[in-house]
Amino acid sequence: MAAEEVSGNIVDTQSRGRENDIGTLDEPVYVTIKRDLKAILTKCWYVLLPGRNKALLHDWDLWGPLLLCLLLGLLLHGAGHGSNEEPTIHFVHVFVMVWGGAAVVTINAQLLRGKVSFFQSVCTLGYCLLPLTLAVLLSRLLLTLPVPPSAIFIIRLVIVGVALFWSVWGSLGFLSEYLPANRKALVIYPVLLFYFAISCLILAQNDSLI
Amino acid sequence: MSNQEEVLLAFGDEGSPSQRAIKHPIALFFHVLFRSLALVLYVFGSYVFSSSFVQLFIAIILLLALDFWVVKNVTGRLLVGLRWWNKVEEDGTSVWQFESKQAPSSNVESVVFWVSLFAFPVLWIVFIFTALLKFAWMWMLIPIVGVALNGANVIGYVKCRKDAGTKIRAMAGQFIGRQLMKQAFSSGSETTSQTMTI
Repeated sequence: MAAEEVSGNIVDTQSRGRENDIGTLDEPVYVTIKRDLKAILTKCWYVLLPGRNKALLHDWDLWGPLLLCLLLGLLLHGAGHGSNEEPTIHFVHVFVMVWGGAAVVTINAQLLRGKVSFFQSVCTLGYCLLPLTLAVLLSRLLLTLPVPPSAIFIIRLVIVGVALFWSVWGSLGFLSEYLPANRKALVIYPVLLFYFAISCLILAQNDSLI
Repeated sequence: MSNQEEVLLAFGDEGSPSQRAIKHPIALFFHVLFRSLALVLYVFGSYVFSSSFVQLFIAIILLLALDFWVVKNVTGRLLVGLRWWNKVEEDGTSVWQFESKQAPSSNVESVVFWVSLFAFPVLWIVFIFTALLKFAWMWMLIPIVGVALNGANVIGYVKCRKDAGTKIRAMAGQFIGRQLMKQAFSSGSETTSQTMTI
């Protein structure tokens, strides 16, 4: 009797042990660094060429969202000086908007029974800020050119519009297959709103970069 | 301070001299470097440097992110032989995966690892409350990020440790079971041989 019980245990632990054995405990540190850097760059590449691969969702990381959010905040900070020298767009506003917005959009998708985990969705929404970050960089560089303001505004509007389309298209390309078919619009609308709000901030930033 | 030293001594006395030595000084250094720098910069940054809030904010957040990465991916496996992963399945459910090494790790290293793992999130929680009392909403964001990033490692490693514990217990059980079985079989064969001779 006792022997049978024990043998049952042995089989159980062995199968569990093999499943967990990934074997990265003894790898050199540079292998770890190289793997993660490669993962970040691959994800950036997939965002710029959306619809190619779903790898963005399979192993998520928050490096891309963090760095893009910091860069975006830095480039948007200090727009429109108010009466008492306080900027109307503060770095912290952008930071809270990106993370809070991504969290709200994700929770909304989950409540509508989308089969996507919290960090997967935040990762996707964050990486898809890449086109908009490039747009704010381009837009602020354009502001240094000696061209009439109205012409520059139209060019910036086009750039931000294209970037907005790119971001939304990219994120939906990654997320759409995980969303419930009959409630897709209810998830897509907040995603649109999220990127649209950031686009408005980009257009509100009128200071030239240099 | 003296309390901590006592713990260190107690731990050191248990093990052999090899367990008392520090085997990974660089890992130990980086394990506490980034989180200490982040904390010091948060407390003293605005007095020491004349830099703006935004620059300090970015520096601290980047330090916290670096710390998260280093503790999760490097120092955990070198100092205590543990590593945790959070994978996502096809259906969107997240799954914890753990790796653990049975090799004896240095006691000094493991004490430093666990003490710093738990102490820093506690300090960040204290700073959330001090910022709350000062109504410094923007400054409060930093300790919140600190708690989130340091806390994630606490949860990961505590779960990993528990998982490693059950694995060791299972292995011990397996070993005892095998011994029992061996004994049962050997005694059984002995009795049969005895009956044969009789």
